[in-house]
Amino acid sequence: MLQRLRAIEVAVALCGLALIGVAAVNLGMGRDEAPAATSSDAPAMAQSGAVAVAIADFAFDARDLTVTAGSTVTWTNQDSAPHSVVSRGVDDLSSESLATGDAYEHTFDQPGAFDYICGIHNSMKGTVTVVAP
Amino acid sequence: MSTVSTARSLRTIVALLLLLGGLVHLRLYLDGYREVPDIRLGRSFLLNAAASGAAAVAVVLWRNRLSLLAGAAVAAGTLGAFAVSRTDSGIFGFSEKGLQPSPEALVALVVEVLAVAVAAWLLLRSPADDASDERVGTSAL
Repeated sequence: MLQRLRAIEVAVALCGLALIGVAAVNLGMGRDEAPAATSSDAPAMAQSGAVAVAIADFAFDARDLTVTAGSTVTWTNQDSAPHSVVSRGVDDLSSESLATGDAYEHTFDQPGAFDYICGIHNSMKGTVTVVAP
Repeated sequence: MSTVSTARSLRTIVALLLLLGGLVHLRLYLDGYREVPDIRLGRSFLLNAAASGAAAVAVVLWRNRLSLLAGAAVAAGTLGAFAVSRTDSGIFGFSEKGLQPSPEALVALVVEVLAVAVAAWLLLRSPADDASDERVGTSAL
């Protein structure tokens, strides 16, 4: 019994050291630069028809999007982590959890400003502004 | 037939729980949290993994109250960070909802709560209990 416990203790200690090593190596490999500017930095210009929004690096790549009424916006998750698209307030947008490669689309018929977040990571935010065609 | 002290067995359980919590955080980092725009968030997951690993090693190698206290502190700190990450302000501006990501959030929550509970139980025992357990453990050698 004691020998078995000792073996477990040794295994735990070795795994602990391995965990420290892997974490340290990854800390050393961490990126140093801020992510590149996204399209949210560009001036708002109304798009129409089918509009794509990528979900990448825990952000909506078109954070402030302007489309004309009748446009269909498609969000595609490019992260390895799951995300979702959920309205803040009203229930216009309500996707399921999107795995890598999954997409969610919504057609905006009425003008207005539609704020949304990732329902899993609430700090991920975006806005779709719909203008008359 | 040899007898192993209860305290020593429970210490090993605390170490295993810490190890599991650290592995969950390392996996979350590798599975996507390294992509969070604020790199401090990803690094905090790595630091959690390293601290959990170090605490697990300390708990099994140094059978004293200080190592247990360190293990409990790491687990309690992880629980505190989990709670803060569920607020609107989040950690480094990053917040999550409920028990997402699933099942990692639930696994980490259960593991850290158990680690704190078992470590606290061991810490709150009287020194006489420790001495008694050590004698049992020694006699088993």
